[in-house]
Amino acid sequence: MKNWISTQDSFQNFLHWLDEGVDSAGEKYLEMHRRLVAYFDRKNCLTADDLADETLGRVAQKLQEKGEITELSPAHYCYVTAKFVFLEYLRHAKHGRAGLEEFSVSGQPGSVPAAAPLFAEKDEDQEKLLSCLDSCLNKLSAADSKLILEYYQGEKHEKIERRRELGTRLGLSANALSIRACRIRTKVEQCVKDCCKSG
Amino acid sequence: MSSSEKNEKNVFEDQYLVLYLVGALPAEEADRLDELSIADDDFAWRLREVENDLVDSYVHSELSGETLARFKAFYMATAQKQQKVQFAQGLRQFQVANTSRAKIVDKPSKSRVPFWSTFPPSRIIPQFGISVVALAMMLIAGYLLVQNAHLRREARDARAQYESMDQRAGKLENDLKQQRTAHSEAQYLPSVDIAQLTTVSLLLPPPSRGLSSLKTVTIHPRTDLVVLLLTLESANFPGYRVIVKDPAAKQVVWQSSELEANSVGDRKAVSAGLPANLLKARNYIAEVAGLTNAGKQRIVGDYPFHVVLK
Repeated sequence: MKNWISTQDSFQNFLHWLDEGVDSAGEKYLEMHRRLVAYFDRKNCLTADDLADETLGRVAQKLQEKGEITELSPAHYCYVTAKFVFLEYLRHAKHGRAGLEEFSVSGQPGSVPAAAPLFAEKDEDQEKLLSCLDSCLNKLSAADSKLILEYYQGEKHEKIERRRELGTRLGLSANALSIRACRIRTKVEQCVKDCCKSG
Repeated sequence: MSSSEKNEKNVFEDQYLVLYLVGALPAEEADRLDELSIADDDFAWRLREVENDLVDSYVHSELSGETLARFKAFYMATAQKQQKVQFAQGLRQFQVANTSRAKIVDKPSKSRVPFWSTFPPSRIIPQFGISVVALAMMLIAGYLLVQNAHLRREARDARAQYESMDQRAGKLENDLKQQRTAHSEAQYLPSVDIAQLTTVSLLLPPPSRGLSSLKTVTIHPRTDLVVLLLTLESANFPGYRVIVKDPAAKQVVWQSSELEANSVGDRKAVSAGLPANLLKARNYIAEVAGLTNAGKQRIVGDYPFHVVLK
């Protein structure tokens, strides 16, 4: 992460502002970071993680300078900032520079970059991925582990029917079930990512 | 809006979001969705869900035509998204292994056939010997890896379930003590101090879980009652009877009256209490029989256990 948080207090203040009055124990920050990474990634930026950090850093800095930001909601303000960060990124890339500091661009859609390492490029990596996945699924509660395996199982109509049954069984609406499954999958994906990175 | 219209709208929305994810929307429309993907909670989750399904569809080879072409060319253009695809592939392997395991449980006779026996010996001809052995070793390694993962998960599930059952067993013991207290009071038997009745409980899993070790119950000299909590695979009978047998002596040691199955977590179980002094230090079998409405008795399963006297 970039050097944008000068004190623990200002970071706490930033987390508090993102929480909008409901203490999320840092979850709002992590969720916003995930959304920003996904946003830059959809733009095919090579360094989506760094751009997300850059965005949050700028927002935090602005909050520190101004004391408060009231004209937009925190999420909306993050989006506006992210858009500027992306435009700068494009401009730097267009001029053939490395982008924002070390950032680079993938060029045209369709080009396959070689930035962040994949989970599994070789057979042993594939084994590692499966081992990490197993370990991460084991960290979940039995109910969550069962839910994610069941929710994402099957194809087309079978999958739809399975989800309907699962929702009925758990007493959840389709929307609530989908969000729960999605949260678990996001958590497991992050866990696998960290696990594979740790070597 | 009718239900079908609503469904059609949802299908359309999914397709629209897929177009966005594969970079097929005009810039201004994509900008609007970019904003929602960060600033709108509901939309952010919905988009993530559609993306997960899109990636799964790719892994399941369900994409075709323009969508597939764009997915490969645009969506797969970053390592982050390639990681998502690899994660989905890994998840699919677990799901396939899970399904296979479920089928094996459904068909126990087939499960006992080693998978390598499906390769007829005539195929293992010398000129392909090395490659076949290598392939077999890879299959075995993969098979063991997946089996290992599932056994670990199953053990964890079973542990959680049995912890819940242990709590239930404790509760049943307390209930039993209370009932005995009430019963003794009703019958004016003040000489027996029922509150001091000592029980020991033993939780036994369904007999189909063949991998579990023989369960042991330890009986102390002051133990009065042994409560057996026998977990059922399914509860299809209105009543049950428990018969405790000594297989070495080929004798029936004790049998219960008609019992009802109780819910224990998401399982059904039958609990039976027998006097501790009937049991010696040896192996026993608790046979559970289902009682039909017509009064017939059908064996549900045998639950072996071992007794240790202290």
